[in-house]
Amino acid sequence: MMRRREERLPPSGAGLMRYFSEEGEGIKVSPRTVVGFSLASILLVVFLHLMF
Amino acid sequence: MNQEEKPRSRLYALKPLLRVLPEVEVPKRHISFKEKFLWSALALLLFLVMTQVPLYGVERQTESFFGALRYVLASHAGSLVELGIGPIVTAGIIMQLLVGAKLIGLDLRDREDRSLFTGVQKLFAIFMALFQGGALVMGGWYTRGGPLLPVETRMVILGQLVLGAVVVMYLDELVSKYGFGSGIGLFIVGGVATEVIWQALSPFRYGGEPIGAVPFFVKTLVSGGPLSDAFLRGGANMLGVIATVLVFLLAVYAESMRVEIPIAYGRFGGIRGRYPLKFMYTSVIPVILAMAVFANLRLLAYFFPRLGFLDPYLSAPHGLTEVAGDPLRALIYFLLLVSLCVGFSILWVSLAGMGPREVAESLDESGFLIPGFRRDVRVMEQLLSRYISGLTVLSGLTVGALSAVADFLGALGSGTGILLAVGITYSLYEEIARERVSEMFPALRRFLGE
Repeated sequence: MMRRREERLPPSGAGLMRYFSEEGEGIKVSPRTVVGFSLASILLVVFLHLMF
Repeated sequence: MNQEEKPRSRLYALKPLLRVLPEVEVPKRHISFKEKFLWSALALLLFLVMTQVPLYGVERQTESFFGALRYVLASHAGSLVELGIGPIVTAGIIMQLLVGAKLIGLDLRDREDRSLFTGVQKLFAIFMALFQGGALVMGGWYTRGGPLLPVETRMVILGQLVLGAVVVMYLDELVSKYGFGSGIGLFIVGGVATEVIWQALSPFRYGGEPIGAVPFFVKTLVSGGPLSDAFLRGGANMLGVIATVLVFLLAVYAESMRVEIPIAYGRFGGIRGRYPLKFMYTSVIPVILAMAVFANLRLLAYFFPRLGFLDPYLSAPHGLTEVAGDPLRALIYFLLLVSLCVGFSILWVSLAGMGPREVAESLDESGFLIPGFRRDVRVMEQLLSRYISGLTVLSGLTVGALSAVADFLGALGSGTGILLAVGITYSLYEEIARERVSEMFPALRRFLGE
């Protein structure tokens, strides 16, 4: 029996063409760094609320 | 100059800037199902936490500038993610349009051009965050027409809005590389799901009445009050709950519809099968793009009061009472949304390589032909064109009409939000199913495109 092929969209997210599988020339950061950066941003705003 | 050497895009001038722009490293090994799940869950959790962090320097905001569009933009009023995914989507649309119109000379079949495209898109998203945040802050949104805040306070607010947008951009990249689907989709679904559950089931009271439609319905039943109150009251009501279920079922049905084209394999005695084309060929993509256009027009109308006449037509009347109150507005909104969706659907098919030519080439390369026709890409393209052209227009038309009608019915979390949540979850489900198969049978990874 032939395998049923599904029409697959190109690499995309919500209608945007993105090519995240391509290695760019930017500064490489690990997923952990992204999580750290997100937490630091949250804490910075919380700090502003607490201190000023 | 070498004849085959193509002219390089002027965007290459941005390369030095892109070299210092951080990017999430591409995974060097296969990411397991468990790891993908954890990264996706962590990104969603961080995003949801950010929705609860109020902007410093702003009085508590309850009203969103984007109105019902906030569900599609994953925007949360007065929070660190007030801009949601708006800057990323807007930058993406503009870049895609520029590539489609061949105005920036990028060839997305070229690896280096693709990498540049992604980098510039990120840079442009930061610029869009500055523009959108600037329009809100400088336009006086946070003082509601009162005297403008001091310049330093405005700068601090703008800084937080841009910071929030940058965090969302990197979380999206993290999910796209290490998780399931994309962060954009995940954040939309997270926001819509939270809102639907809150509006349907919240037992907390506002003005002495339960916020949730179901607790209010139960209270009305128990107290023997008029049931019409539970179905027609302002805010979340049981009509909205029914509309939500209806839209959910309709969207799932539409997403699962297929047009099957008979095909045969050129070798092994011509084994026959069917090639399924999704009825919702471009899925919910046109609605997301159309909503991003509405959101930006709204910002422009806010900044340039001359464009204020556009404002009522850029968001759907929510619920049948509002539709009956201003049917002309509902009709114009409907026509505007459907036209934009059809336009974006056609654009997306041509830009994303989903047109009849590309599908015919892909089938031909895999050794397939259409029974009863000679093996020729042009013949196959002609035949596929009959289906794909129609499906492209129908898909945009259906998704636009469904979205508008769902909003008119007053679905909880906005009709468009539900439609998007179903579409995105369906794609996510398909990806997770593929992932499970690839985990169980690692030899299949190559066939699944990994």
